[in-house]
Amino acid sequence: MNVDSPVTQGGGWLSQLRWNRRVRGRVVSFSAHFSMILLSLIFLIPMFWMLSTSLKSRAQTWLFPPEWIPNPVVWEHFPRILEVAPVLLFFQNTMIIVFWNVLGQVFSTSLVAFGFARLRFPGRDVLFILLIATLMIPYQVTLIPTFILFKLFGWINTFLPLTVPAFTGSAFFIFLMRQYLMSLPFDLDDAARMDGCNTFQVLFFILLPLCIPPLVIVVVFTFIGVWNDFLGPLIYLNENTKYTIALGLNLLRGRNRTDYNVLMAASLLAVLPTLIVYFLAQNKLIGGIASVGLKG
Amino acid sequence: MKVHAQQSRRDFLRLGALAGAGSLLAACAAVAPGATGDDEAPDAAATTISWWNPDVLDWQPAYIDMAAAFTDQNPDIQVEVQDVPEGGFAEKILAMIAGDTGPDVWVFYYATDFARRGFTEDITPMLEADAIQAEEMWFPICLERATYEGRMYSTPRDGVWGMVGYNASLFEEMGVPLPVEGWTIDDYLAACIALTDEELGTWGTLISGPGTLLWDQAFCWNMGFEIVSENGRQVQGLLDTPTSIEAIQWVLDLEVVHKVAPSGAQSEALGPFAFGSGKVGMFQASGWNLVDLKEVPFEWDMVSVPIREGGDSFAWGDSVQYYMWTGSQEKEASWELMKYISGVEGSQIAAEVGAWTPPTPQTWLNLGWDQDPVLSKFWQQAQLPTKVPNYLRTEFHWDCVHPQFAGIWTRYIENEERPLDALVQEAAAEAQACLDKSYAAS
Repeated sequence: MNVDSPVTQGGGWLSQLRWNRRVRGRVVSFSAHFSMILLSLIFLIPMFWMLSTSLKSRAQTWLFPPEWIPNPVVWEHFPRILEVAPVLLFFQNTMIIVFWNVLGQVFSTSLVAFGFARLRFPGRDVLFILLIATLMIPYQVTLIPTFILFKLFGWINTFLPLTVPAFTGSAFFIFLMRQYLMSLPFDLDDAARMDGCNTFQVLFFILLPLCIPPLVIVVVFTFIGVWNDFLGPLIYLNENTKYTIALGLNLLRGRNRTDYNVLMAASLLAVLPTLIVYFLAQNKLIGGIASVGLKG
Repeated sequence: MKVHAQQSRRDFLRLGALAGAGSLLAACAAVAPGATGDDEAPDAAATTISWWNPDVLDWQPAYIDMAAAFTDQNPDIQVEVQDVPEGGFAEKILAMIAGDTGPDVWVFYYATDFARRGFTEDITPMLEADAIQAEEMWFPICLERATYEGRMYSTPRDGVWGMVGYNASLFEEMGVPLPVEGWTIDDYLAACIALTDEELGTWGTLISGPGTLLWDQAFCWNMGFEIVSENGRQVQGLLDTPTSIEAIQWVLDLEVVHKVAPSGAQSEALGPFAFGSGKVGMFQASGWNLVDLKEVPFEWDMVSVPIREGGDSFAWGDSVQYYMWTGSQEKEASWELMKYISGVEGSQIAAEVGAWTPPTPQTWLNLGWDQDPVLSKFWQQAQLPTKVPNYLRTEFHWDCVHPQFAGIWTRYIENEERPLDALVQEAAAEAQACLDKSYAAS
């Protein structure tokens, strides 16, 4: 007999109620965890398939019904990635581009959003509406004019077209930061100014430390967006030695021929950095998304 | 206090501008051209031409070897081979052309749009100047993608023919006689029915759907009908004839009545290379599948597309092409490269690497592939009569004809619309109207 049971405790409606609540709580908790584990397993299936395929022979990959557990385990696709393509160089190039993009976005987004949120100047709202309106212009529309512009700068086949625009801000991130900055009390600015801070110091010493949640969003979204970007590097880079990981993965795919085992092995390595970034920033990211009302 | 605030704002803007400029300079310094690569300076005296392709990494040795062999023979011409992901190849080429920095030579499938817009060089004068008889140098079917309004805009990279690939192990396991040359569509249907077993999860064929008639054109021609006229301007009177409707009905019945062919979704569920699953009796095989076929864990072979009782046998062939940019500053050198890589010697290099089957009959003979147990089957296809694939007959095929033709399958199978002849007539009328409008506007 369970020592916690109401019978052993002498009965009573209060004990019974507590017992029922405890049981109900455990049932709810178990159900919730069970559902979440089940859902996470469903979402993990593609990852598992990727891992499984990267460790199979080609003939095993084609079998139907599919064999989920590779037998025998074939490791050769991983070293083969390095044989067929300079994958480490692709990683390095991608990291360089990601670094400058994250730096540029954080810097420019903070500055511009601060201006729109905390400074008063003529035409501010009109400029902000114009900025937001740029969100409605598809990237494809500006692709060719932008390409021609960068060509005039002599930037084709360099990382410059892929990094410099980050220093001019992103309308979406600016909007995000502005909304967050507007939610902070103006008393903070006034107090800082009374203590001798200038506008720049107000931003960097007072407000930005309070903006960690949206900044984490900017960092993570920029990281993932640039890491996975295909079209930008495709258009601007003309040499394998400058290719990014997204381009490198696509070199393994062809209309008439795709080596899925090598492709999956390479994809597995390619998703690792984004997973690491996500897990490192997970708490802040979820908090940030909740605080700025961003989802979907 | 007010004065202080104005100065602060100015300071802020100055500092912001300064920091932005500093960051930009830092970014420029870190990623300046050549900063990440160990670029070798090309020979100053040599002409350098760029040669782009959208193929997988496995095939790059073919391009690199061809370029190296070409440079050995032409030391004053350096070739920069560049592979570009196929998924965005057309976008990349268009952007580069718009920026006036297109590659000198590139590899691709379609040229009609590019030729019409003046992006690809008309090589007819160059062929004439070098007294090259195209139809003697290359298999005639390989020239179809090269030709636009009677002029040549490219040279062939490869020559590929479609056949029925079959799983010989499955045929034997199910007690079905192996297909033989000259077999009929009735034999084909009987084999499909015998190979299909719901309990074992086997299917008779993957050659069903619009692809049977559209892509594997030999089915279409062997069954006695056409989709578009040879000049590419007529659909009505061809697609909607009783013979055509009967042929379409026969193909639809494979899936709907006999249930010997998987639906699109079922086919995808069989994995990335459904024939390799061992659960399918037949599929459309071409030279592009040979690399995968070498690794399937069962016996396989190929046979010509079946014919109607007493009908003629046609072959379907196609070819990827080499194009030259009209804006190239090195047209002479580019033409020399195109002649070499498309010619007997260059295409032999790619063939020996195992990349693709050559477009030049002489290369096949030099390699003895006309006698090879597997490759000779493609050689025999090359000797059969053929026709221009429907999708190459009109530049508006993908806008006008294909959607209507594929729509027949969607309406019949998914929407269960009947009767078929009404669907076909509607599709033919829509396609015709679209073609008329497009040609009138062009």
